[in-house]
Amino acid sequence: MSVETLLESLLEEETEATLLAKLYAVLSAVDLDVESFAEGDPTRSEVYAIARTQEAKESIVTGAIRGGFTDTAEDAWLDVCVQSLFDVERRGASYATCTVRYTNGSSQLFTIDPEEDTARNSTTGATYRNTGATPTDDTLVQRTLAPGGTLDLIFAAEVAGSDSNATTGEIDELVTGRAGVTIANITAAVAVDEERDDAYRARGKGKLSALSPNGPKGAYDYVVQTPDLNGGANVTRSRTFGNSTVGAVTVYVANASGAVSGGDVTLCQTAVETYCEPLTIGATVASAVNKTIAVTYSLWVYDSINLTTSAIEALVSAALSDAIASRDIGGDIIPPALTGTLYKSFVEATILRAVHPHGFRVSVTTPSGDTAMAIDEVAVLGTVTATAITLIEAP
Amino acid sequence: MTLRSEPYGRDTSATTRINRGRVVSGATLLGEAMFRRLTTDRGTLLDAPNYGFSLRTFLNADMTPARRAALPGLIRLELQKDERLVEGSVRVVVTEEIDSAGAIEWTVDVSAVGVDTGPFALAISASAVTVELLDLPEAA
Repeated sequence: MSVETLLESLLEEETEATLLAKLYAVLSAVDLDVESFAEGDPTRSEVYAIARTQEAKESIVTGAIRGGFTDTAEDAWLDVCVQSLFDVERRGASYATCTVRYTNGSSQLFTIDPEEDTARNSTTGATYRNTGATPTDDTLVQRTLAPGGTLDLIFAAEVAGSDSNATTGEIDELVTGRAGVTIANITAAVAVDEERDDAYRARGKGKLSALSPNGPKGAYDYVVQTPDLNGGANVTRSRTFGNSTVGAVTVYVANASGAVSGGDVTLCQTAVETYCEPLTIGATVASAVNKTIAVTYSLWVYDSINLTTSAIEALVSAALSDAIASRDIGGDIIPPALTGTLYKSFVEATILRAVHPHGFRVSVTTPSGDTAMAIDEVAVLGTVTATAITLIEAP
Repeated sequence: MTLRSEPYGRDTSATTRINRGRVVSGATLLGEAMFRRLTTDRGTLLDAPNYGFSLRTFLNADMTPARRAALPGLIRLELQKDERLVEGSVRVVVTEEIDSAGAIEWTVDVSAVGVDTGPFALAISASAVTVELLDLPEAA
């Protein structure tokens, strides 16, 4: 039995409703006619106040109890637990950076101080500020944009996380007024979100494996996913496979967006060779290969959800994005099989979970069945199409 | 009309404070409930957001002729929310007096018919500073 199941059998979190029922049962037992209580009556008001405040305390107490165990702790409690047990901090959100090219169509000379200019992604609304550096010069100094000339500057997002991600050309508005000057980012802006609970929990536990002198699988996963060890490579997922015949280990790596850059693969290779590759074993780090999963679905939802079909569609897309980004490289493997699958039922469950408890039927036409995954493949979400979202009057 | 021996059950007595150890019932319980309605700001009762019309809060505002004229009706509307009163039975008379210091005091006389208690009356003294229960029927 898992720790989580054991703990849930021991914890009984009271709600306002259950507390009220118990308090009224006590009052009835001392012969008070609780049926006669009306709004404003002193005993009824006291009982509600007790139940309401006690419910809030229940939530804190059970959160604290669950927070003492790695498998059940969540959010800030998980940080307390993992840091105290494993001395591992949660990986925070990063700020997206990119190169933005200025094109000066005027006859005016412009000087640009560090952090003076603000650029904007007209599609998403995300904003970015120039750092002062250029792609070839890290110093943060004033730069000059000549009349009729171009200038490339490094910009950083003002808000951390993947909401500031932008493909080439998307950052196209110069908020700071410079007449005759246009801009566009010539490299993509990519950032990672704060590490999710499930990934943080696994990485914390993985640190124990890293202490082993024999280099078990968890050590590789821990090293390639920890920024302090992997040189800052953008890696949030990994899977290690061994070939015992030749003593070869292959560590496939991926991030939330899928395949990892060559530079990051090199950083991870260095980290593995430095921190966890035992003698006589050859460990190779390789980027996972993207396997695009497009999703087409129809969904039936009770109107108690109180959302428009557009909002429901956005909710489902966000849920699918999170769910696909969390799948292991190589898919879900059911022994004795050696390769994995992205199961269609997982996609269906994700869609229904996004609208729980209002959704009751989903029909997924793409993928048409389970998707086989090679050991080096990582699922990335493709186009999501809602064929129909039908709102049904709630019973 | 059928009058029960202990209409509306029993509860702790509470007017301007909770009177621990004293239990009321019948017309007294109902009268105290009506008094509490007129001393509670709307929205402050956890389980009843539409409960209350605080006389003190109302009287602390600038008492224009329009507000004076509206006061009895507002009190009646609030009291009538109690389902233990016969619908339409609440009558409210507000009398204004100026004391020797020049402060204004209102006397609110309420008569109503309880569903299970029959007719009863209560009197409340109110000003911008205090609200007091002057007269309340004792329990049957």
